[in-house]
Order: sequence, then C-alpha cells, then structure tokens
Amino acid sequence: MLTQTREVAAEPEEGGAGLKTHLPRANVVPLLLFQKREVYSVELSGIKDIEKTDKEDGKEKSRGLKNKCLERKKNHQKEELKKELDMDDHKLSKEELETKYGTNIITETPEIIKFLKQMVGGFSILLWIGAILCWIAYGIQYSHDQSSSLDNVYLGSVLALVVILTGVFAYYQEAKSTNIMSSFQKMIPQASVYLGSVLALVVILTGVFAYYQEAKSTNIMSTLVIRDSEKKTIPADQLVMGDIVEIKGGDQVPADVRLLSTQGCKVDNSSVTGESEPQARSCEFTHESPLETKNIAFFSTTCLEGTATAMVINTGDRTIIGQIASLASRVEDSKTPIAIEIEHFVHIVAGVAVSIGIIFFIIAVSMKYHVLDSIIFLIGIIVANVPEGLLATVTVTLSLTAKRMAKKNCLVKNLEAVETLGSTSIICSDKTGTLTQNRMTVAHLWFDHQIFVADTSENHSNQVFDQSSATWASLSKIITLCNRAEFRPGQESIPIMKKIVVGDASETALLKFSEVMLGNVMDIRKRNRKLSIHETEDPDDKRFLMVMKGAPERILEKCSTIMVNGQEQPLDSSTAEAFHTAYMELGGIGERVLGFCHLYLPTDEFPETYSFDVETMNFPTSNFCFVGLLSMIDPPRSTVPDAVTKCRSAGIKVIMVTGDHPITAKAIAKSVGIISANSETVEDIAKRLNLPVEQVNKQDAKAAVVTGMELKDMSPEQLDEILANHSEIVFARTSPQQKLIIVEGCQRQDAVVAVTGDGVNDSPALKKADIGIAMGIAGSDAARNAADMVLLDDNFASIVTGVEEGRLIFDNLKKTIAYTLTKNIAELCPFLIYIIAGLPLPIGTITILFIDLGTDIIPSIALAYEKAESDIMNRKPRHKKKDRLVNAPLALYSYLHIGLMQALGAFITYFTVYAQHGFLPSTILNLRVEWENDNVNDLEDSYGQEWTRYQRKYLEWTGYTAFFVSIMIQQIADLIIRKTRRNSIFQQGLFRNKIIWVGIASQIIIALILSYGLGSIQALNFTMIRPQYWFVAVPHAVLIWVYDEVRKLFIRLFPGSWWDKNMYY
Amino acid sequence: MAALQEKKSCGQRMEEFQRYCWNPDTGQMLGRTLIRWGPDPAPALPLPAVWISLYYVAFYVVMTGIFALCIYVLMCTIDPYTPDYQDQLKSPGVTLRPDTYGDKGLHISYNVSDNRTWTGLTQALRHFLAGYSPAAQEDNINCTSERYFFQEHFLAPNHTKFSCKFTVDMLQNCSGQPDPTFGFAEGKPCFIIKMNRVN
Repeated sequence: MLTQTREVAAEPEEGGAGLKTHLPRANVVPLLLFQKREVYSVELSGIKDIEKTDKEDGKEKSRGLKNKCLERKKNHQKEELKKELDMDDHKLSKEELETKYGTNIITETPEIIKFLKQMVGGFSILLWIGAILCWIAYGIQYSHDQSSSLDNVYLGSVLALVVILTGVFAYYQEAKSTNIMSSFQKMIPQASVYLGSVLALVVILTGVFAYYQEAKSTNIMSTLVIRDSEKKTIPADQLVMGDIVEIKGGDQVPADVRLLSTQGCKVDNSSVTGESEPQARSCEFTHESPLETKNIAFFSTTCLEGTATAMVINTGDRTIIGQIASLASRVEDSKTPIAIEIEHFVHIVAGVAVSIGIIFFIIAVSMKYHVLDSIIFLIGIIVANVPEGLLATVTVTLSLTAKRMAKKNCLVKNLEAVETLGSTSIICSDKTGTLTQNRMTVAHLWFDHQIFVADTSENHSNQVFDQSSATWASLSKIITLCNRAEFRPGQESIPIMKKIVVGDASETALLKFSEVMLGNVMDIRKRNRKLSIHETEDPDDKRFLMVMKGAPERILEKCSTIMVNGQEQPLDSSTAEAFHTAYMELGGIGERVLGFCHLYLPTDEFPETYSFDVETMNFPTSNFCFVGLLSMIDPPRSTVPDAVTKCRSAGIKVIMVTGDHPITAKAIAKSVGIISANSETVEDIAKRLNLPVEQVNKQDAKAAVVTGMELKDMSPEQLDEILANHSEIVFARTSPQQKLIIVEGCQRQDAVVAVTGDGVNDSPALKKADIGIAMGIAGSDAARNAADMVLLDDNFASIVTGVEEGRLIFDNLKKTIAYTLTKNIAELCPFLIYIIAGLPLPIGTITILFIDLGTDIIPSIALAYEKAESDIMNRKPRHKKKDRLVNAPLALYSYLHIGLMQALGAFITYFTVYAQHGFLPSTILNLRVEWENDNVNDLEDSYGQEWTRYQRKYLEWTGYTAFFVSIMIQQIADLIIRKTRRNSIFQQGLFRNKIIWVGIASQIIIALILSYGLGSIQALNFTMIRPQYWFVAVPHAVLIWVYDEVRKLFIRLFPGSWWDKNMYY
Repeated sequence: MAALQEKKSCGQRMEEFQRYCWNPDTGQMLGRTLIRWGPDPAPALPLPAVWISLYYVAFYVVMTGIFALCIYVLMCTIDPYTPDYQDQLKSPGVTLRPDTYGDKGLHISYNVSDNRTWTGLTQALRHFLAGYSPAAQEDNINCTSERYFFQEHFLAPNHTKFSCKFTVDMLQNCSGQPDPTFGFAEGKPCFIIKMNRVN
C-alpha cells in the first residue's frame, strides 16, 4: 500500500467552504426518504434550543446564527452521543419506534379534490352556470306549463356533460408522472394518439406502477450493527441514534454517522455534494462545517474502500440528505408560464363572455323581454363565447409535443413544462455530470520538459501526442503499475471507456488511459508481479522497480534525478523551475496533477528473495528518478460547447452553479463556453492591469466567478446586481440552499429559470426552478423526482431541442387560440341580432357546441404541427410579463376583423336561406314573437304563403344548419390564414403541414354527417340543406384569406409601423 | 381615516365635495383638469392610435358596404312572385276559427245559456270574415267552380294576378248575416276550417 500512503490530495483545502448546513432538526418535517420510499415524520424530544433556530425558513436559517449554531451543534452532538446511548431505542421494534417517534403520512391533496378542481377551473364554472340556468329555466317553464319542451333540459345536460368530459380528460392528463410517461413511451414509442387506449393504458400503467413501487420498497438495504455485544445484520431503517455500525468498502452509509475508528476509509459524497471524488475519512475533527469535516459520513453516500466503525448520530429525515429532501419537498411548485398564460386567456374570454352576457341581459329585460327568455339569451351568449374545446385542445397539443420531445430523449413529466423551456431565459446548470462526463480523464502529460495534450473526448479514440520518447515508456510503465484499480471481470465486449472499474476516480482514469495507450493492463501487471515494487519484465534484469505517484511537489522532494529523453539527469534548479512552471500551468486550468517517479533497486542490496515490509519501510524512500507529470480533469461532454453556443444565440443566459472548486469550475466554464474566450472576470482584469481587485470597474468584467463563501455574505440586492451586470457567471462551492437562493435571484429578474442537475443536492433547486431538468442516466432518483423534465440520454444538447420545441409550441398555441377565438363572434352575433332585431334565431346553442367540440377540434390540433416561420432559435426568449400568449392585437384581430367577417358571411347565408323560402329580410325583422308563438299556425311570409309552427321550426333548423356550414367553410379559410402570423402562406407552403388538410377534411366530413347523416335526429336541430348553401359563404372565405394576406404583406413591408404594432399578434 | 376623525360640519363636507367635483380656481374637475380628462395626455394620443381608429372606421364602412352589396345581389336573384323553394309547404297547414288556446292547445268551450262565454268567439269569427265581405272582394273575379283557373299574365293592378271571389254569403248559415250568433246561441256553433294559403 506504499503508493496509497504517499498519495496526498493535490487539491487545496478551502476553509469554511461547502455546505453550510448545521444539521438542524426540524420540528415536524415531512420527508420522502429516497432509499426506503417511506414517509416518516419524526418528532423531537429534548434539544429545545436547536429547535428554536429551525423555526426560521430553511434558507435563512444558516445566516448569522451559523457560528453560534455550529458550536452549539458540536457540543450537542457530543452530548447527544452520550445521552442517546442510554436510550433504549435499539431494543424497540420498528413498529414501537414508529409509535414512539410518531409516523407521519404526507398529506397530499386527495385525488378527488384534484378531480373536482378540474371541474371548476377555467371555463368550467361558466358552463356550470349555463347548465344550471338551463335547468332553472326549465323549472320555471314547467311550473307554468306542464307541457313545456325539454330543450332546456337537454341543453343543460349537454353543457354539464361537456364540463365533466373536459374535466376527466384534463384530470387524466394531469395525473401523469415520469413513470407513467416513461413506461407509456416504451410501450408505444410512435406518438399516435388514440384517446381511448391512452386512458385505458394510463389506468393499467398506474396499477402496474403502484405494484412495482410496492415491490421495490421491500428491497431495503441492510446494515451491520453492534447490539447486545454482538454483530447483527438488520435492515437500515431499524437503526436508531446511538447505534454502532460497521461500514466497509462498497456499503452504503446507513445513516449520518460519526466515525469512531477507520482504516483507509474513503467515501463518495456525490449524493450529497454532487462531486463524485472520493474523500478520505478519519476520526479527527478537521473542519467547522459538518460537510467538510472528516469524522462524519452521510446517509446514502457510499463507502468506496476501507472499513470504519461509526456511531449513528442522525437518522431518517434528520440526516443531511433528509434535510435536502425536505427542503425540496417544501419548495412549492409555482405555476408554469404556460399555466399563467392560459389563466390570463381564460380571464379575458370569461370577462368578455360575462360582460356581454350581462349587458345583453339588461338590454333584453329593458326591451320588455320575459326574464326567463333573457336567461336563455344569457346562456346562449355564454355558450357562444366560451371556446369549450380549447383547453382540451391545448392539452392534446402539449402532449403531442411532449411525445415528440420524448422521441428526442427529452422526457417531459409535467406537460406544461413543454412550453416552459421555450420561454426560459436563464439556465442554471450544475457542472459535474451535467456539463461534464463525471469521470476523471487524463487531459495533459508533462515529460521531457514538454506538455502533451491527451484526447478527452468520450471515446478516447485518438491519442496524438508523441509517444516515441523513452521517457514515455517509463512513464507509461509507472502509470500502469502504480495503480490498484481493476476492471470488473466479464466486460470484454464493452468499450474501454465504458467498462466498470473498481477503484477511485483518479486511478480509474489512469487505468483507462493506460489501457487505451498500451492495451491489456492486467496482463502487464501479471507479468510485473507485486504492486508498487515490481520485478522487471526483462528476464535479464533482475532488479526490482519501485514506482511511486502522488502530489507533484511531494514526489519531487523524493527525487534526485529527472528523466529526459530516456536519460536520467540530475535534478538542478532549472529543471525544477520547468517542473514548477508546468505544474502551475496545469493546476491553473483546474486540473488535478499527479507526479510520477521510479527507482530501480540495485540487485545486490535487494535480491530476488528480499522481503519488503511496508511497516518498517526497509527500502529506500528517496533519490527517486522523476519521470513526468500527468494531469486529469473531468472533461466536458463533447456536445456541451455547441449547445451552450446555441443557447447563447437564442438569448439564453447559461449560468454554472457547482459544488466544485472555483478554479476547476472556471476552467470547465471556459472550455464549454459559459465564460467565453475573450471575457474576463474582475480578478482577471485586476491581474492584467496590476490593480487591486477593489479598483477595477465591475462593469468592465463580463464574467464573474462567485464562491459559496462570497454568496453567503451577500444581500439579495448584491446578488441581483451580480446577476444583472454580468452575462457570464459561475457559482462555485455552493450548497443546495445556495443553489436555491441563486434560482430565486434569477426569478427576481423576471427570468424564467431552468435548472439542470443530477445530484440530490440539486433537487431543491430543480424543484424551485420554473423547469427542472434532470439527467436520466447519471441523475439520482431525487433529482429525477424533483425535475419536470428528464434528459434520457444525459445529453445537454437535448435542452436546445427542448427550447426549440417549447418556442414552437408557444407560437403554435397562439395560432390555435386565434383560430378558436375567431368563430366566437360568428356564434355570438346571432344572439345579439336575435335580441335586438327580433330575427328568428340564426343558430342554436347545441349547434354552436357542435362547432366548438366537433368541427373545430382536429383543425386546431393540426396547427400544433405547423413548422416555425423563421429561425426561432435566433430570437430572444419571450418576456414573461410582456409577451403574452393572448395579447390585445390577437384578441382584437380575431374578434373584430376575421370574426366579424365570418359573422357577415354566415348572415348572408342565413338571409339567403330565408329569402329563398319566402321570408325576405325585410319581413323577418321583428318577427320573433309571432315566429316563436306555438299557436300561430298560419304565419304569412313575404309571398303571402302561410306557415304552420312546425314548418317554421323546420325552416329555422335549416337556417341553423346553413349558418353552421357557413361558419365551418369560413373556418377553413381561418385555419389556412392562421398557419402563419407574418409570412405569406405561400412562403410557408400550403401543403407542408399535411395534418392541416386532415383537419380540413375532418371539418367537412363532420359537417356532412351532421347535415345529411343525422338530419332526421330532431334533438340536434340539423336538417338536410340544399347543396348550394354550402357555397354561399365561399366568397367570404376567400375574402378572409385575401384580407389576411394583405395584413401580413403590410407587416412585412412596414415593420415597426402602427400597422405592425396593432395587427401583428 | 384621519379625515373622518376631524370634526367638520356637514355643510363643510358638501362644499369640499363640490369643490372636488368642480374647482373654479384651478379648473379642475374630479381632481383633474379638463385636458387631463382627455385620453391620457402624456403620450399625447399616439399617432398609431389615431391611425388604427381611422382604419377601424374605414374597415367597418367597407364591411357594411360589402354586406349591403351581398344583400342587394341576393334580392336581385329572388323572384318577386314565386319563392325559390316551396317544398316545406307541400302539405298546407289547416287552422280552425275561432281559435282560442288553452294549456294543451286548441280548446273551445262555452255555456249556451250564458252569452258572455261566446260573444268573444263570435267576435273572432266576425273579425275573420270581415276580409270576405262583398266590398272587400270587389276587385276579385268570379271563377267557375270545378275548373282550374290559369292566368298567364299579370293583368291585375300593381302587376299582380287576380284572385277568385269568395264572399261571406257563400257560407250561408255560418255567414253571420242571417244569424249574427253563428249558431252559438242554439248550441249549433259554426266553426270555420281554413286551409293555409300556399303558392
């Protein structure tokens, strides 16, 4: 183990950095335990003083109080250790313990409430009012006249049914989760949507998922515990404070423990800090911060090697990991931007509906209409104004995009998050595992006074540096031999870089490097028996070779010579200088540098039979020959720089937030372009100009590197200032809480913030972000649970795809809404004219529902397939508060321009139908009362013909059908013009989006069926209309198209003009 | 709420309110000057707003024009004498006179001995038959019964065709002339069945 004892961590220790958690104990903390998938709440007894500090908000509590708390905590831990050992918790069964500490089931919103929420949200409440008014109206009618028609009952029931069905649909869409979505995606990768089968599948999958979870939760890790002076293996969840546990390499630490004795113990704290670098653990108290001190190991981290005996000091939700989890669970989900937009839209439409409804109710009453009739008008106006099918359409549109993104390995857990990525203006990215490959890789070599570059790409394929030097031969031999990492057996067919290695990160890097360079390391090792002091391969050379690696300056101390071009030369001050220059250079770019040296032991002193003893060190430990330096880094993923550039050009600011050291963070930031090549930090400028940092104008520095230490002392205003003034920011050495603070800071700037991360420590920030993006392969369960989106292939570049899809869906939703709103005017005008001018009703309420929920549904979904009009990745992200989904130009243009034209076109058809049957326009004015009188069976028309009530009713229904068909025909034109907002239809291509034509075909077919197939069903009020009535509105449809082309032409010709401002939506 | 705690007489308050509504010294109305009550003066009614308002006016004028044109074209295509489609009226409706309606449709009942119950009914009949008095039927021509009466040209006044003469006396006992009670008094009431006119 010589090499190990000599290896010293090359990283500088940083004082006081890292997590500033002080193991607070929350009073009652609802917690999701990741390992056990069980929910506890633990009540505290004793320790009142600590509780006090925890009443404050999780983020704030570490400020100010920190120092006091730390001290107190330390004392307490000691007291606690003594005290808790006296307790009898360990004797109790798990159930008894649970009784003692009290279980807690997280009070989730009951499903029924969620379901009911869907029933009253959005437009539903308006429709409910409509339905109830219908029933009331029938009730009043019935009390007056027992034979009154059931029309109002039908209408009320239809309205209620519409609400319930949309509610059920939305509820099922809401009830999705990653697991449902992912298994769903596996089962039907092609994104074909059959609603029925989807619903059935969801039900089945939910069952399967629940069963799977159940099965999984029984698989609990067990741990070795000393109880009643014997070692027992018990499930980890039965541990209590004060238990003495034994941990060995490969085990997961079962709780937060204080180490009592260790032997070469190293832990991987990646689940807490996100950094997977192994950290040595011993019994000494080395640091104020519990996260930095060596004598504490954390729950759910892995012990990589060595053994340790430890005492449990925190269990369950009181562990660091538990606190992060509860922090994550306490962060409340804010509304997604698209949800806000849709709410805004619902408010607009509902406002219009209610105000028009009430105005006309008053008008109707003051025009001496019966109150009952006025109520029925009110229902008609509400139904006409509310786009019943729109919310379902939006859901389908979003889920279509979600499926499209899933195909590109972006799994969307929360449907609304599909759009969020499109409006994202800041991405806060974790470094390790997200931007980088999360594996140490040899990046540079230094030998023969020269720095060589090694290939750090994912597959290590081409190592191009000069390998002819004899020094390289020696160096490679040391790298190969001075290494304890091994490939796990049975991985012959796997590429070297993907093989699983047993050993720490640096040794793994070296092993893989030498395997790539030399091939078959294991064989070489076998041929060179014994580790670190080796017999040589050469049968003629009986000497032992002693090799050593470690921190460069320590290694250099042991050396008296240096190898240059294969020749040993004395180590003079100039070579030492060259060494230092190289060391500083490699260290300065954030790489971990190791020195390598060797020594051939003379045969006379150390014959073949010599027995080496590590304890007594009966071999030389100095006068080695220095061979070379080798530096390693966790290299960025190859796709990241390109993705960062694309985000930049899309106006998205990329911020790095990492738990790693600032130097490494900055180096990686530079190599992926988060800090661009020519921008400087304040420190860089100070260095260049030889000024103290304070004198540098902060505005000059584009980039900034902020550490957790600095962040801790900052006020929110200062953080805002940094976020606003620097375009390229790196936050290093941050704790989970600080990540949260940074995200909040970004959100204060009115930015939509995306957070990418993979570790447990990222999960609170992932939850807080407007959209959390977790890594699918490398990501921890906690991160994936907290995230809204999972990158299945861990490819950061998928985010760019997501942004693109998100922006596209926002644009297309605008088109969908514009399309849907337009016909509302054509549906509303009939009622207004009916009330004011007393015409026979041009279109019935049920017929309106057939437009909203029949002919218009597929076309509005089809708009989701529309391609982008211009390069959406070259414009800035939309401003959350300024660029609304439904803005004034959109509403005005839809309602007052196209909608009005549609209404006129439909009225022309209506007048044509009546005139051709004998009622000229002049006759039907103010005819309403007589027309609707059931007792008038000889109403005279313009030609003197007399009509019975039934004949009139049939004509009225013919009018409904003709009006309906006219709206449908004009909606085809509306659909085509909505394909683009700025470009001409001919630039966009009339036939590029085939689904649009499917939509148009569906409209026509549904209308044909309603008119000719269901003509005999009276409840639906459709009749067989003459074929020519289908074409009356065609000129108006053409007019709509031409008008919109002209609008777009002027927008393109005069950008920025009053026309552009008022007509571009 | 400090204002409410100050002791002021009602008259004082009224005066203050009046001053708030119209302040003659500063020319302020409801706390603003008259000009300030116009469209927000700071951006001084931006030009685009003027343009777009004018545009809306023009747009609606044009749309009204188009609508009027469409109706005009429709009226031009309509035959003034025969409706284009009469399929709805293939079987003409039949109505009864007098027609009084109860809760469940046509419902006629009266008490023979109490003439107040049937004067309304006879009134209705008389009113209905007023259009068939010889004076009203003056301009119509006599037609031969049991033969169709075809007219090729519009010879009647106002470019119309003639109708056949139908006078009340053709109804004999039910004409109301020999018996103004239409038989209601004897318990043998007259009911007139009328077929709807179709072209």
